[in-house]
Amino acid sequence: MSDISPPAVWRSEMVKLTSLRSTTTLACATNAASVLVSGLVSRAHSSRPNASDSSTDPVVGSLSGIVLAELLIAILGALAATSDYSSNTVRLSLIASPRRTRLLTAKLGACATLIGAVALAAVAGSILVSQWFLHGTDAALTTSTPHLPRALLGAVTYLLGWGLAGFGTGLAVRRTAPAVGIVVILLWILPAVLSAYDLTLANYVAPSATGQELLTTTAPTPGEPSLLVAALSFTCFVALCLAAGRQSFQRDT
Amino acid sequence: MIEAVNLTKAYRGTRAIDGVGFTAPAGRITGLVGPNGAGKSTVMRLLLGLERPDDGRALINGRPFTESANPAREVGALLDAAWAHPGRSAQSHLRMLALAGGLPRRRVDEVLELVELQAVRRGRAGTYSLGMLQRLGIATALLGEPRVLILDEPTNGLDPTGIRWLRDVLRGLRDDGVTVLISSHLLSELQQIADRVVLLDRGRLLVEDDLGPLLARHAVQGFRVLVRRRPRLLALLRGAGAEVTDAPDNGSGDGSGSGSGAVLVTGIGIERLSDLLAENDLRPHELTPIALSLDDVYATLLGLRDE
Repeated sequence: MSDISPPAVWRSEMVKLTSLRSTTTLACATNAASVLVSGLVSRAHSSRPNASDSSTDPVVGSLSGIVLAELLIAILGALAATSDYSSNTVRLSLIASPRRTRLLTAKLGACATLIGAVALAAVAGSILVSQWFLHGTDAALTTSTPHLPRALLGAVTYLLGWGLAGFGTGLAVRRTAPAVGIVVILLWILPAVLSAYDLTLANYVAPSATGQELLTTTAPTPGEPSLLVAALSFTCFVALCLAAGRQSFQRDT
Repeated sequence: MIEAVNLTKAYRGTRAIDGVGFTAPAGRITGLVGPNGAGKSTVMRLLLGLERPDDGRALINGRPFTESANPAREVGALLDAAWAHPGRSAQSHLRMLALAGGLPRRRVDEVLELVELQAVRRGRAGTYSLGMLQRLGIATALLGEPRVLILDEPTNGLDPTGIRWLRDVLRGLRDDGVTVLISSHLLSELQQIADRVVLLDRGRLLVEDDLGPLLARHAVQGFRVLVRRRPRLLALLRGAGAEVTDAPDNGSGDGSGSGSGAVLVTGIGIERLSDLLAENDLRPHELTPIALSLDDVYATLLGLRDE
């Protein structure tokens, strides 16, 4: 019978993440950037005569800062994995808890906890600030806004997904610079390249496009995937990143 | 007990270790010795399950370390003192490992006290000196009060007081029945604490033996002799079948090396040598048994390999 319980290993990984200034700074920066951008964009909208634009989803419009938050949170996920390799503390963790699957599960759990909390705070903060500016305009969210809870949950899930994708990428390549480079390619360059060839393909495959469907409250237009298909595509992308990370984690350290 | 059985590991087609097998018994300090690139660190990583062998088995207390039920209590390791995030404090570093190993929190304070880092426990590891990092690494290894210790160059960066302290700690653990496997390039240091020696070279096992018999078997037994009538001494000793060469400098800096006329005599016992000197009225100004050292054995064995 092992003395090591999975929750203890999870707590160990939480201490590992939260005891680093770089992690906490990036987590705060993610929230600040998301709130700031959402606030600034909402303030600009509120000062226009027709604040409500029928082509803009009200939730997406209130979460403009998510464009920056998704990048920062993916980098946060990547750093959570690569800082362990750059300092070789992953080896010490493996000596203390040598069963790799158990350690990886704890790492994933800790990373999801941290990123989930950051995502929740970023979405909540952005919504509160944007609604403060949009209050009284047609663009303000109300309890009658269709699918509002689902869209807000979708926004948190979207950010969490990018954080976990970054974590998987970080585990897979083990070094920060390449991991961040890959994240930027997946997040910004892949959709641009795909769109240049086939917009429909980009809408169905590019993770930033499929993921953002999770936070829309409006029905998809022709050429856009349904919510279910988009969610499935985005989940597959995150799962692929994590599978690549798992594969690498099982290799020699 | 540590057992390496026919361990083989290659990196990109180059064999780092090739069929290495040895045993490090409980209650003994086993020194893992070899030149750079001999495969010492690779062996240690394989023992700890950080890498998988291409062939052979690495066993700790009869099973692979990765199958240990209580790994932190079974094995403590220091492979590199730099394995600490520069942005994390010693306290957080140890707390994180204590949690991962299922160890009580009080152990963190106990080992910090033991390695005398209690005062700087909240300081970031990036601000530590090499000696402090080494102490943190030793604290990490001792955290779980393990029954097996695997230490790679643990005296690196320690001052003489720290080396003496570590030597005493390891001797105490050995006396408590702990298995200690320690690598060091400071052979004179290793000679003071090791009971057994495993010598690796170019990924292969050269020698595995208890230190005493190894030194007795391989080191040259001899005497350093200085008399006034050197030609007479040389003639007598050669006549008695001894081998005589100029003695190297004894390192004292007093010029009493070969320039002083001292000779190194081998192939003759102390009784016969003293009889010869007395019978021929050759009063020795110096008669010193040559100290046997692991360095000599090491050089001899590597020299034999090259021949």
